[in-house]
Amino acid sequence: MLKFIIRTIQEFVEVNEDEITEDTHFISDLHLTSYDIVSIVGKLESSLGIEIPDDEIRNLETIGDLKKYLEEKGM
Amino acid sequence: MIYRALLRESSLETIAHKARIAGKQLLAYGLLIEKGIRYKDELVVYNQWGKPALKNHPNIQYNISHCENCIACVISDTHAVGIDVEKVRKFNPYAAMRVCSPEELQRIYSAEDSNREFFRYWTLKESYIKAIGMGLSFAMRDVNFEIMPDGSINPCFAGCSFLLLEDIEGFITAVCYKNIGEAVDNESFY
Repeated sequence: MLKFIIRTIQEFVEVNEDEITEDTHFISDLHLTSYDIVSIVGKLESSLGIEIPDDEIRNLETIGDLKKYLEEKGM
Repeated sequence: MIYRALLRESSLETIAHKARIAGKQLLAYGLLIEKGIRYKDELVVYNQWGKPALKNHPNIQYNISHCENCIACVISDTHAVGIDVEKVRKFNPYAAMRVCSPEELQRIYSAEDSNREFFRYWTLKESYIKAIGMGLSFAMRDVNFEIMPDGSINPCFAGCSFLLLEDIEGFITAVCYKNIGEAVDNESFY
């Protein structure tokens, strides 16, 4: 799942896979903009056939948060 | 008042950092010349969604945005404000599906310049959710607009006025004034 998340992010922004851990923060470490985040969430929803409600996006601050969230959704 | 500035081109690694600093400098400049407030002396507090405000000047509303080397800032003492600047580029269809209504998608895909049309809607929506201070917690798909041929903007809700500033070195800037009672004067640009 971690590699899938990283590959998805790399479709939209340049990130070095070697520097990403579950503690990597989307905004303070990867400097993602709200447009980047919406693009990534939209791609994840399309790829995985799930819906991520807007009010839950804000709780997903790190790669680990997103990994755990998707795993809890049965991905 | 609205302030915009362009930084000299730089590498993508350094431009984001420089733009964040320059955004604060633009805000500090505006607060000083408009309100006589020294930003560096002010305590900044944040609401539950992270929107900043000056603790000792609760009537002052401000918002900053940057994209690549373009920086924009808006200050108001009468309305909640939000601002968003984006470079017109190839838009992401996943983002469009997530934030646009079916009517907006139809207009985007039938437009002569679909990329520009998408970023018109995106910046308008982003300026609104920044004005209300909720960020991505708010469903952007529920904030719909119709951009008229004369450039006027009709939101699907009342209580806000919007400005859309285009063709500044390929950037689009949208500004939302929440609870404004009259049309915004274009001459208020700086």
